[in-house]
Amino acid sequence: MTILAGIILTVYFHYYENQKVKYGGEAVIRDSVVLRAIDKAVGRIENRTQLITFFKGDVWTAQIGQWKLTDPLAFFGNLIRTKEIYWPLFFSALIPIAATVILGKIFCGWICPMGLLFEWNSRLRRFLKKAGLPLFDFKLPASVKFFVLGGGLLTGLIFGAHYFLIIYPPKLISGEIYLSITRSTLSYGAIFLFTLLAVELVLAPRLWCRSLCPGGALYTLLSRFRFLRIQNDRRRCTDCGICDRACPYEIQPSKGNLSSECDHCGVCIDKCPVNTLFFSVINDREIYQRVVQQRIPPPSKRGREGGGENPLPRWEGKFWKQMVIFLGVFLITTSAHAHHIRGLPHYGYSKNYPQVPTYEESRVVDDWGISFSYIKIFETKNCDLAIYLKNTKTGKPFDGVMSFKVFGEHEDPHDVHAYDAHRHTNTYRVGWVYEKDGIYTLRITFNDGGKTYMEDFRMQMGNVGFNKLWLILPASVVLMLVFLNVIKRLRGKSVKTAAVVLALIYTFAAPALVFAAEKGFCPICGMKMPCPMKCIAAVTGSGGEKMMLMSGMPARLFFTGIALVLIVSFIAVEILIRGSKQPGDYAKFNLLEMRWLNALVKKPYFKFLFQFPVFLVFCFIIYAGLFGHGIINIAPILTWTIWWAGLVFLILFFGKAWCFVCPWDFMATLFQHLKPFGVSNAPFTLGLKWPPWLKNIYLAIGLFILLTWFELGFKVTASPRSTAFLGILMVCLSIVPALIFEKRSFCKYGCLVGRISGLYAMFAPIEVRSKDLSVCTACRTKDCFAGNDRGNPCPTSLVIPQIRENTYCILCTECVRSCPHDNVAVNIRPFAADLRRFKTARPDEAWLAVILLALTSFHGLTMTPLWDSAAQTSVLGLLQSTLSVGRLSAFTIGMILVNGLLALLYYGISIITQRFAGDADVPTKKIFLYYAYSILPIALFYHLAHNGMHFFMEGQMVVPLLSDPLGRGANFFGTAAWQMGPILSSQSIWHLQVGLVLTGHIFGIIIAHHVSRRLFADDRKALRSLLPMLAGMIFFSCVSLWIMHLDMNMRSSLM
Amino acid sequence: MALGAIYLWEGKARAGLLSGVRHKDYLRPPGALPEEKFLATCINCHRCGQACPNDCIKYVNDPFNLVAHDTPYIVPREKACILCMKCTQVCPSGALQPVADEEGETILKHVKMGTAVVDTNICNSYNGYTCGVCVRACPFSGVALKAETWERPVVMEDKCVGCGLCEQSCIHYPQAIRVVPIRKA
Repeated sequence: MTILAGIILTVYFHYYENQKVKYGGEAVIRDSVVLRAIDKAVGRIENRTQLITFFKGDVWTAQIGQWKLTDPLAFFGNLIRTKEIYWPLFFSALIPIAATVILGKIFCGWICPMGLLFEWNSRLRRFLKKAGLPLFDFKLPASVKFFVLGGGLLTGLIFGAHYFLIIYPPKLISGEIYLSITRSTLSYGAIFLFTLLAVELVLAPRLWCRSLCPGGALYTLLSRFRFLRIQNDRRRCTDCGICDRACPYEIQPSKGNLSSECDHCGVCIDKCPVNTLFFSVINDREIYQRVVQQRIPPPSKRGREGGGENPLPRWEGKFWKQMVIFLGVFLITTSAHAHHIRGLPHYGYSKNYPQVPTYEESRVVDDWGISFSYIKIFETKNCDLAIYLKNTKTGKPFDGVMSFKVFGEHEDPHDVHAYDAHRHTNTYRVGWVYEKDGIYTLRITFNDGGKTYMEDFRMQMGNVGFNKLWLILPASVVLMLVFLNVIKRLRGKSVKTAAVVLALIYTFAAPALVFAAEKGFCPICGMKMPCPMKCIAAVTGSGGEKMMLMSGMPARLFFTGIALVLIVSFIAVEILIRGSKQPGDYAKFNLLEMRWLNALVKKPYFKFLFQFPVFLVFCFIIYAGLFGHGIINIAPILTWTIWWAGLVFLILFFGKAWCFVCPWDFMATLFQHLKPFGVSNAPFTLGLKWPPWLKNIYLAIGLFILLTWFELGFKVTASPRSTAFLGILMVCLSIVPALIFEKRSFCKYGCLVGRISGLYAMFAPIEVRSKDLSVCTACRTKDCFAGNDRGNPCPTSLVIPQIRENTYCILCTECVRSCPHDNVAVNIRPFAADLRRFKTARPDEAWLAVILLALTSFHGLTMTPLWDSAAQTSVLGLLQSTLSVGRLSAFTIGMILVNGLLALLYYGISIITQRFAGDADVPTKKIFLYYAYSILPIALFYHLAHNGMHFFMEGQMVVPLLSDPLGRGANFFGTAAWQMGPILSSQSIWHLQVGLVLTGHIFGIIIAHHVSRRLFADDRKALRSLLPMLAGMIFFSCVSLWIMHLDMNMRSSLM
Repeated sequence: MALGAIYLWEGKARAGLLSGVRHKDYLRPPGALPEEKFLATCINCHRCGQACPNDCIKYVNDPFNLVAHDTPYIVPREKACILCMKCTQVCPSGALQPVADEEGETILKHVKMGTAVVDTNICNSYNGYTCGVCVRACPFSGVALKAETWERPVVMEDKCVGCGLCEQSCIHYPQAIRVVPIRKA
């Protein structure tokens, strides 16, 4: 406590002193409450400097008066890295080393500031445990820390790197305090510390000190032969075991002679009810032996039994007092320095001349080194933008024409007028006045050697933040009320506590996020923006192949989306708890009641009418892909943008309508039946049964993963040839099994398009079912399955009365024709009807749902500059340089990592759900399988949002290509030269995306609710199992939003 | 294991994992050891920053480059070093070698942070607009940075200590004179 406050005050004093000495520091002192207080207290004292800088530094390295002290770990680390002794460092480390050798690990017990935090952390843990939260109790052997120490020294020896510096908590916390006070920022260390505290809280109490700390390991080694020891007077000891339980290192003080793990914290001495433990400077084994031999048996066992549940209460009161002081101290640890001063070149010879902040950004594109800088003139909104281009090879400046274009976050670059910059001292300049604060982009365009370069630079003007902050407060209050309402209804202490904790987090987390963002800190990791990860402030200009960079949704919409997801989640839970009825039957409308449609469907050529045109288009795509132009070609755009992106929309509204018109199915049927339509009595096929071990959809899952890998890893989407080859491959995949196996076995089990659309079609509002089940029960012939002279047997071997889900029905309408009782209906129904009512979960389907979620998110991620850009900050670049592998391997590894992590995450959520629900009858596996259906809507709607962007941003490119499909300069419809903007503006697309994600989230929650009812008989357990799953779903939705918040590389290279 | 060890010794990991990623030339505070050695010696204690009365010492915040993470550096365009030598006197690890006092002679002899480089393409004085601000900002004006005809700045590479006061003062933007960090092997 004292130490921590000491560090903080030391930093403050130093800062104060520096500001006092420095010119202009008075203003800084005036601005900060703490510095002003210090000024009041010590400002007038004569020998102020000596007094307040008596202590310097922190626990890592300090100076008290003239005595320098350094952590031995720093000394040993440096020794091993530089392989030479720096004597001043050695002498400064000598005192701590000597102290440890004599007194033991007093640093750990009495000085280390983390010890205190860990202590409080374990108290919080005890409190949570009392509240009934399921916390883990994971342990590592204490000897692990020696390996950490040894490994750290070894890496130091090999790499010359000091790894302790990034994992040693006392050092990190000192550094973070310093940074937060003087630089008003935090660094990586804060993330590490918070993670550590969280891990200790939830997974493993006192893990760090006991088993991982390299400093502790070093001190343990040094204190092997210490003099100061804690001893136990065995004669008076009652063996109550209180000290053993209280010991943070679990080294059993009751046994007397303690091992060198002991850090002399004295908890055992404080807690001992009979005061038998004491510090002793004698290390006399004889005395110890004598004491042991004279041991008197304990008078009663009452102490032991009573002490178990209730560790001595006198510490508890103290704890809260300490906490209050601590919070008080930490609250003033706010920045002493509101803004870090950026860029103050002097415009005069005097140092105190008013200065203008400037900003500079440099990058290299091909041969050109580009330097962008701007100044904002004092308090006005006038800016001067300057670009300087220098050839890195010749050193000559660029002297051609350069045009500038400045646009805001919400503006479409196409609408903004570009103008030529004027050149002065080889620098291109443009004066610019902005209207309101925000993020702007400067786009420069210049020509060199026949190549056109286009580079984007981001500029932050003024305060970029949330203007409607006041909205947050009422929103929080409303949220809190909703939570209270929910909590009121819950029964059971642990559930209630969990709900309270969740409610607190959500009520305060959302405003905290917004506030952090407004203050310029990353709401995710706490780093100062723009951060090196570039995850929030999106990156610009890749420099390589020119793709159109569509900016992601603005931060405001992103955070609004997250807030909406949170609010919607809790409102949905609230409503669902109230109305807990089982899903009943749903409203339907039979399309076949329309007489003209009924007549049309009954015609044998009904399907052919739709399939044949699609087949012709397919053939044309293959032809264009194979023989058309290599770049200007209609094949990729029709396939990937119109078909593949539009497919999901088709499924959303028409279920498996694709399978109905599928050209591959058409060809397979043609080969199998040897005629384009009608009933075939002797199919041309070996008619084998599909092998039983393949009677699942893992094959389709594999193909889907393979296709995604192929599509993204090789950029098939831009190449007409490979698009055509993939199409032909699918033809083979459908025809060959059709000739070997009976019916449409491949469609049912192996086809990736069919299986994905099958799973999604559970959501669709269209279905084929029997009209009246009693008619089917009475029916003995089952013509729908077996076929007759009016209709073929069901291609996917279904029996109409048994269809409960859309998954395997390919909407071929053969049964409508074959049913002798006219008992087949094509119904319109509410969305997600199947998902609400499904009976059993199939593992293969569940896996497909999980993989769909992972792969679609991954698909979105690969299009962002975060994944792949010329800068090394991208995931791919990082993987390549770290592992020294090529691009494709890096891509594959990245794909495995991202998808594996997402799948693992879902599995982890299932485990937590299982623990949370606490029902031994429902194993994790079952939870994993059943809840997978509830994340399906999230996957589907993210897929929609993502594909919608493709469709509406790129779909218009088909218009010019229609006139010149093969890229041979034709102009059939006169549209070949049309330059079209996107179908929807990016504004509308962003809003659409947020809406879609929200819709998916709501459906997900509803389905999760039904799943929980089905899994657990007990209502309370069902509700409890819903909570972690809900958190997971919120996470997945937020990830979806985040990906859409990033900029996207669109496939505009086709044009 | 063995393969892994060989891999490490090959130095591949060192190039890729440690320094290859986003390598950047940082201008270190005065008295700093050569870069490789500096990285090995610095114990990231922030004492130099605490001692700096000018607030010009910043710390690398780069989780991807853990070797350079949290080490001190200076961005002279934002705030240049005023050569007070306080940081060198408090450094406990010797990463910044102590310089006894802030006398001009001592500093000229012991400090070599980098060298200023003039870009004659854009420097006002070289392009017909007499300026000379940098020469006046230089603490060793006439020794390290000389003004020729029309105030054209000329850097004496062996004398320039690399404090960056010239870069901070340059009225052209982007700055026409920059400090390039010195990396002695």
